[in-house]
Amino acid sequence: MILSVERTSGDHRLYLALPRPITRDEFLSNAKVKPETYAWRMIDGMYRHIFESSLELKRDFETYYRLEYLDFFKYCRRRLRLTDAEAQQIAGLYDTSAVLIEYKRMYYFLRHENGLRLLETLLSEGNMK
Amino acid sequence: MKIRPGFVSNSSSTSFLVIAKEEFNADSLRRLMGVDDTSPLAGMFDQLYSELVEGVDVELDLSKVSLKKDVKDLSMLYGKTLSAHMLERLNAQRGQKVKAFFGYLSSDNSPVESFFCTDSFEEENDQIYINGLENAW
Repeated sequence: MILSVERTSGDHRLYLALPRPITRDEFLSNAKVKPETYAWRMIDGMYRHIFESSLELKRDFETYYRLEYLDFFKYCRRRLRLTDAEAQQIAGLYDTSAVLIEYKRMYYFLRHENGLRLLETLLSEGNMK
Repeated sequence: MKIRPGFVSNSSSTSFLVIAKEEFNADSLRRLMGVDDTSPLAGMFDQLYSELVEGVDVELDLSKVSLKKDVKDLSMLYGKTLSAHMLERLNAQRGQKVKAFFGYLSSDNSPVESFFCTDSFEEENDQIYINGLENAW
């Protein structure tokens, strides 16, 4: 599942819930791009940004914030400043997701519907919740 | 009075140059950029092709550009300023049977054009050269 969260301040984030981590090779394979080309580098950069530079929420919560917030919903609500509905949606995926990612400062086209559809495909239809 | 919450930023634009031996079309652009016909990125690169075509200000048949005339003069003639690197490329292919297109992309338009406008790229294969490295005007 991808939850797109946008605020009037311009803050735009994507929350990605995956039942299992996707490898770089799978991600690039889903993109159907030729190795070492512009498109390959673009998608490789996207993968690194999502899976190597973004915040993995379950790890962040368990490592640093469980004692402070006690439950994941409160962490989403107070730490990530999500609305009740958004926090409930993300918290509801905690047990069934291997990976919960907060993806910020994404490529500009991912802020729009076609971009989100592209990202869903790259994360593989069978892999998404 | 209108109030706009959030950040206010300037728009960007960038120059581009395409030099093509054969016809420059969506298929040839996809091949150059490494996108398979069945790729989920195909639509995005087809849109880039449309935005490039839309953004073309000058089209040159380099086989008809005088060998005595410096390409820099031509770009001035058209009122455009290409980067030194772009002018070098044009000069190097002067007199050859290739076509050159140059213009600009803007961040004010579609999300796809905005992305490529703010990215830097220079790609080449045996048919096409494309340069979107910098804003040269």
